[in-house]
Amino acid sequence: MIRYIIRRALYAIPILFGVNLLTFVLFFVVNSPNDMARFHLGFKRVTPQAIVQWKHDHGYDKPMLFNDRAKGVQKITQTVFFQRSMKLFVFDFGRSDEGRDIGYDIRQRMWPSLAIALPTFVIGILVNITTALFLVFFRSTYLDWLGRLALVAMMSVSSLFYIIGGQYLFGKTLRLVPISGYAPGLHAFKFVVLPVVIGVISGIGASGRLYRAFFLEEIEKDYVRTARAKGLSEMSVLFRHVLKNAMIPILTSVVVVVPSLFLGSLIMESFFGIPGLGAYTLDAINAQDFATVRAMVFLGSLFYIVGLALTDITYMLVDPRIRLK
Amino acid sequence: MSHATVLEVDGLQTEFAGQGYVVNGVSFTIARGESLVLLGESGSGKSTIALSIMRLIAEPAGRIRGGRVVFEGTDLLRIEEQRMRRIRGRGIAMVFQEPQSALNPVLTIGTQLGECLPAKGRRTRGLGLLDAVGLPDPTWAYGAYPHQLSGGMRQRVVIAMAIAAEPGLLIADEPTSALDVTIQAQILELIKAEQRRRDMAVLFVTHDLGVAHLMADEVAVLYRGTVVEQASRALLFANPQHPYTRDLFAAIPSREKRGASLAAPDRVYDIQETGCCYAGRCREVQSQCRVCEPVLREGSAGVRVRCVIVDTPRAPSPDGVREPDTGGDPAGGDLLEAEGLCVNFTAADRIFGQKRQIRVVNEVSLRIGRGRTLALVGESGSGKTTLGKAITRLLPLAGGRLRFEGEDMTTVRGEDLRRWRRDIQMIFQDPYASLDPRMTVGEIVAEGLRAQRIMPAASRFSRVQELLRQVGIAGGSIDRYPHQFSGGQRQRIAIARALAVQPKLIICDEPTSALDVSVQAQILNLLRDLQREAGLSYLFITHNLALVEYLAHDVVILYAGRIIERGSVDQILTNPRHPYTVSLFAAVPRFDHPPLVNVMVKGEVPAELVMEGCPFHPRCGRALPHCRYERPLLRGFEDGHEAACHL
Ligand code: SF4
Ligand code: SF4
Repeated sequence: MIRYIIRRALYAIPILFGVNLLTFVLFFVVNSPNDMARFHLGFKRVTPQAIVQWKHDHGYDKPMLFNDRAKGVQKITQTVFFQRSMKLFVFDFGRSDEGRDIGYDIRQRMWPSLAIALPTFVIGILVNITTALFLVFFRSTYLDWLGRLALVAMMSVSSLFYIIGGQYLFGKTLRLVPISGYAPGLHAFKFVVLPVVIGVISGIGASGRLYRAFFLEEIEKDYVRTARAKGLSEMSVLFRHVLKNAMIPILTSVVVVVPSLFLGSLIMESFFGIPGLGAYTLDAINAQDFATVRAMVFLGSLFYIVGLALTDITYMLVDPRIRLK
Repeated sequence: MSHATVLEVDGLQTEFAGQGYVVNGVSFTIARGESLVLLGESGSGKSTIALSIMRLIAEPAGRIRGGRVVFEGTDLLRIEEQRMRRIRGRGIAMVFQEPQSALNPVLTIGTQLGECLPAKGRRTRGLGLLDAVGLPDPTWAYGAYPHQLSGGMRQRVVIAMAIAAEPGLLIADEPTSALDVTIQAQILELIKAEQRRRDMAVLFVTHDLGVAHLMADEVAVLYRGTVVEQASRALLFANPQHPYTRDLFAAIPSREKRGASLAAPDRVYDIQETGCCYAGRCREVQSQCRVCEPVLREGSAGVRVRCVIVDTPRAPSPDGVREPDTGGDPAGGDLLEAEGLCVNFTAADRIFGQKRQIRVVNEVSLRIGRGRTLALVGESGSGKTTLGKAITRLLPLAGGRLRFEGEDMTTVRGEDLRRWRRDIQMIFQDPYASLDPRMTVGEIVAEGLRAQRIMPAASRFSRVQELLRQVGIAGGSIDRYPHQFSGGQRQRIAIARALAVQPKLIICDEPTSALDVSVQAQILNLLRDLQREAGLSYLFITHNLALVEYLAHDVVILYAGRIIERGSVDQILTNPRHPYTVSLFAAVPRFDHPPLVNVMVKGEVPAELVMEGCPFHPRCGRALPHCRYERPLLRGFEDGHEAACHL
């Protein structure tokens, strides 16, 4: 297990390095440091000196990837890429181009993100499994047929529709919850309910259908016939035998997103005015704030890699065939 | 023993969407303590009958359409699901064919067994049951998961679950078809012992005549959903009446039939709308047979036969014509010589990525004579399939030499290797998996010709047609796809593909083990004819000893990757030297003559290779003290007969 984690961590380094380089290159293909300086200074106050000064203050005055004039290893280290991007590997995010401490911002904003993403995730899984089990219990009846029809319909509707429709119905017409906004602490509850509910509902269509397929695949298997031949009721067959087996593909398919829950959802947060990391990223992109964008992309890929490793570990833990080989 | 009827099935009909009546009016009764065997080939409806009795037919595709299933006075087809559920497991229990998949992989044995027991004293009773069915370490097994147990052990667990609630009737649906013969013998013995002890009625479903003979008091022979003959075991095996039953007996390969072709239907069944269901294949078909369906009539001595000519005295089923056995000449010289072959298998852990080497074939030397058949016999895990692949160099050799027609082939590569591979072709157990489903039959057969560039494209077509004719596939099939053929026909196509490049040796890896006996007979006849006509040599990899007796010239017996005995087929059959060989042959259930000696092998092949001493010593009934640490080498007895045993 330890060896596995070490090996995984070693694999992650080149991947993260590549992601970093790619973000860097892509960003500067679109924006040159001069453009950034002009944008941040505000176009009116631009003078050549001010641009040079801004670039110097923010560390963009060195060559991008390779420093011809420096000596030895400094050819690599005295560059914008090395100075600004490599620090991410020790989680030193530095300051944003506007001078704010990115690490501090992330620590602040991760909680509102989590407040929405985590309940959406957990409740979503429970609801999807329940829906799927319900349909499987009533398989090949009209109920199953109607349920499937509803799922396909729900899947086909854009999630923007749920957001706007939900805000209109519950926020505007019924006035049950605020339309958007956020407050810290316990007051967060009334702001969080609507995005969570909408997040769960917009996910049922696709996942419910997928899980139903997982269950049906299991129900065809020989061990289910053995269980029935023992005289078990359909309920015990479903809950004790089928559910446990179907949880293996379900769990392994969802675990990958668990670490990324911290990063929140771009769409949800900006529509509901939640001051989380999703909205943060979106703002940074709009403001051409390279330092912040880069930090968020780095975290995103890091969490994804961790998620993949977690998937393998979960697989090992839940499937005795692998755990006890 | 009381003779109260436990189960009465009367006029049972079960229909499957798209297949019509799979069970069409089947009736029988089983009394307490008795066993009835349902004997039939695939498509006979035998498993469907078993599932219909349990009401476990997968709806809505399958439906019970009519009849009665009376169990201890209750008609099971007329009660609600609620009551039926109480009968399942408690009144009627079932053992299934595939021990690999019949248990839930994520629940422990204890949990699954516990579901059949009352909550009070569950563990104690569970352990007792596991002990009773012969698990060597019940406490360990109780907490283990199914994949940690071997197939035989899992089947014992399934039996333990079945007998847990003391059912009045046990249904066993081909419980040993997926197991090795030595394990099969143990499991069958276990079922019989439990039946005697509990005075259970047993409904035993099988396709194997030997197994039927061992297990039955009464046998019902099924063909396409109806009982065509039913009789006591003694009468059925002494004097089979129905033409189908007689054909079945004639299709079984055996030592007595060596040199003769087996009786095999030359027609594929054409579906009969009216009249006798067997009329399409029947050799004694009468004009009236096609008009009205014969009824199951009571013949002499309680034999019931569904045939118009029952009780008319007839000659015994014709045996095939005997031809001189051409391959019997050992002076033909060796085609292939293998010396000290070793093959390693690298086991890699999926997640941890550790690798270790396991030697699966160890120092194997063998020779295949021109025009002869060498049978490579072994149970699962013996390394027989690996050895077959290593001989064609499809797997890398870890040691040893290969000579083909006197030339060293151990290290040839590139063009030379390809040319040589043309001389050796393989056919496999599952013809469907080895034929590309997207290619037509013509393309499949022509592929070998094309790949080996032996023939201009123009003459290829006629050659393909000729090959298909040779294996008995109609020439018009050339544009059809593999899925449009039956299993037996697909195996013929695979043979045609192998023949296309005019090989000298064909490696047959269990080519008939997935086929019904009558289809197997067709394939065996074909292989025999090809050997006689073209002087082909065969390396016949099998676990089926009846095949060995019928067609092998020389025999090599593998155990745990090593040769433990070899010799001519007569030497091995009449005078087996190695205790494993003896018990292997004794484990095959027979109906033609009683087993020579009654030795049952203990236990199973150990999971870890036995590193020291005789690989068979943990299971050997005659082991000497030094067998534990001293490895026996092959030593000669009579001319060419060798065995690796200290005895
Ligand atoms: S009834 Fe006729 S066709 Fe059917 S088995 Fe008897 S003889 Fe053959
Ligand atoms: S060498 Fe010993 S253990 Fe091995 S088969 Fe012979 S008698 Fe049995």
